[in-house]
Amino acid sequence: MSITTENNEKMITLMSSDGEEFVVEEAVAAQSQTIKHLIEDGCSTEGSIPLPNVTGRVLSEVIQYCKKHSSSDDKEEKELEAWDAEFVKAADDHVALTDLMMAANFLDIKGLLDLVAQTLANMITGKSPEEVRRMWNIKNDFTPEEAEKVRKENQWAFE
Amino acid sequence: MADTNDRLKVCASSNIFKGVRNRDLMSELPDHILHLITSKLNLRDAVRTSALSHKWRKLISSYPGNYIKFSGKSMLANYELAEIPCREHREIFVRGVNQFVKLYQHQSGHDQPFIDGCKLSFCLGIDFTEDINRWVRFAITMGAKTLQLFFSCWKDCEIMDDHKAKFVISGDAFECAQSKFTTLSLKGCVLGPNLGNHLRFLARLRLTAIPALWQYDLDGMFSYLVNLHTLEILRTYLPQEFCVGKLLRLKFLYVKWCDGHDITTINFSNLDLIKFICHSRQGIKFNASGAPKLKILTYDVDGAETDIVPCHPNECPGLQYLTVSTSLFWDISRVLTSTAPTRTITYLRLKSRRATNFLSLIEILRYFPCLEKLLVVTCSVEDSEEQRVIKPPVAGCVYEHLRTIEFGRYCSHPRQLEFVVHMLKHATALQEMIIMRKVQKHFGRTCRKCSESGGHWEEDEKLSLRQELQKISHSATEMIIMRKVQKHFGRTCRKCSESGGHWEEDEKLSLRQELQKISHSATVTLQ
Repeated sequence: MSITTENNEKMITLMSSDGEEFVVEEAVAAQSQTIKHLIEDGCSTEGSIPLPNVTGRVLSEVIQYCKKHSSSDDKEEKELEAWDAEFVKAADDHVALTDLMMAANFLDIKGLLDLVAQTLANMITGKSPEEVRRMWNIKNDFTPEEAEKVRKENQWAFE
Repeated sequence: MADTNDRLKVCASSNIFKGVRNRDLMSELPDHILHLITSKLNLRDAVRTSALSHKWRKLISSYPGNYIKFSGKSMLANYELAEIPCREHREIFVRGVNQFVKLYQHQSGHDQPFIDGCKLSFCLGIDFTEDINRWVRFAITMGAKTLQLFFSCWKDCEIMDDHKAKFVISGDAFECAQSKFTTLSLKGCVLGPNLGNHLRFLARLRLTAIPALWQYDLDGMFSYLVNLHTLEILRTYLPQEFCVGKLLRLKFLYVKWCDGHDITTINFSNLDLIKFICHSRQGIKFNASGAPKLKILTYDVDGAETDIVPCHPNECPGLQYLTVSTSLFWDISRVLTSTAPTRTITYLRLKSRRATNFLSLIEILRYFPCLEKLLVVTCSVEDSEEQRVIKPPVAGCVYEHLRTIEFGRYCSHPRQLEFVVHMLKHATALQEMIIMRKVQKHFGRTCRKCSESGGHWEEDEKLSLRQELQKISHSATEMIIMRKVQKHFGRTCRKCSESGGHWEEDEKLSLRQELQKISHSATVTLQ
């Protein structure tokens, strides 16, 4: 079933910003629209594709995600969802998630972007602004008057 | 998976050493990513992020989300805890939406945010007409392509009971509608005057639970909707004469779970109509003359005493996909008045709410010589036919195009087996034979009889059937015998559920054995 296990599958090499090399099947890497376009433009023929914005650590996570999602066309959706949940649970910290988010953004992998965005959204659901600020180190740059104004404008949401 | 865990933990902890932990990494993300995050929040949580910092405030005011949902659940904390939530929260909800709408009202020019669609779902009545109209205008000026206005209530509140208290939607609300606005879905409100006047760009319209629709001047409204290609009417009483002929571009017509007014006749004289799905309760007939392009027809009406082909082949010369459910006994006399076989139909799904006579069924199939896919659901088997034998098909009536057969509600009745064997023997091009205990949803409700026998296979039953069928099957036929049924086959009957959708091991085995006796080399898959 799986397209990736065929013998004549083309392999390509990705190089992270810190010089780590990853050899992956083209079908796996092509889930990234960015890489797909690079391949189409012939960038993969001469050695490895450099990815200056992604560290090796993050790239290995991303590749894990892509592998899972490229080999599972015919798998149960539920199983995939469970795998996704585990995958982001492993990064139950917004620092790791922002890294992943930036990589997904640069590599243009829609599924991963959505997954991480949903995870981050879940983190702040039902929390007060103070709690969110503490969790994400967001600096409150409102003057007391401004803060009051913002609350008033959207009073219904703070009731 | 443990690997991932460890690696990400390492990754996170190494960031601590770099001092990243105290940085506001979130606010450093590009705006479009932050918008992606806020769009995944419910409206209340999304708006609350505006209190975080200037950056977040700007984020929300520049982009309220792709699809705005105004509902009790998305806007109010503890909404569902109230006994009658709509009554208790109505004022707060209306105030909230008004406040939200106001945030975006004064923006204009290139800064003005755009949305794709808007859904309003709250039990509101005529008292809030002004507010609702303002929100509709807001959504349309924000560029919404889709608008869903749901005013139904799932509790017995005062608006629910009183038609006069219901919101009346009039054409005025849509005055500013542009060509972008193409999809409208209305639920639980009364259609008001001039509704169609500004909706000439509308392509899809869905009406759900509309009170007093039978009194409304539908013709008048339809005559404005010159671009409408999809009309759906759900859970509504239809007028006695329901004519959609004024909708010149109509391609898809769905009538679902509606009730007829005594006997409602749906008349279509729509030259472009391709698909008509009628899945309703009672008293709905239709007249297909004037829809020459009709290709897909589903007619499943409770208590309908319909012919197997409910319209004349001359009226629908292009009919290809036919689904019929009838409350009548299958009988050769139910196949139309015409005697000529229908050569256009390649897909036939038949369901009888009565006991099935397989001899009749086989005779009926003679009228569909070009059939490629056949789906049959039998409720039970007619006892009277026990003594009769299914004969081979008459010469010239081989099922030579038939590739797939699905047989629902198989309960190991000898007549059913005989029918399956008959089809295996004579459908020479058959590639797939699916035999199921339960039935897919689109077949609709179950009969009582079936439910008694409990929807599950005995293991040996499945096996023996499979074996028996394999004896006669051509090598190309793959047999899939399922205990449970795919989702789209839908609800179970009570009998079925009692035996709990699983095969008994010996049941499956015996079925397999039985089928294998007749099959040459077919693959058997037990599910």
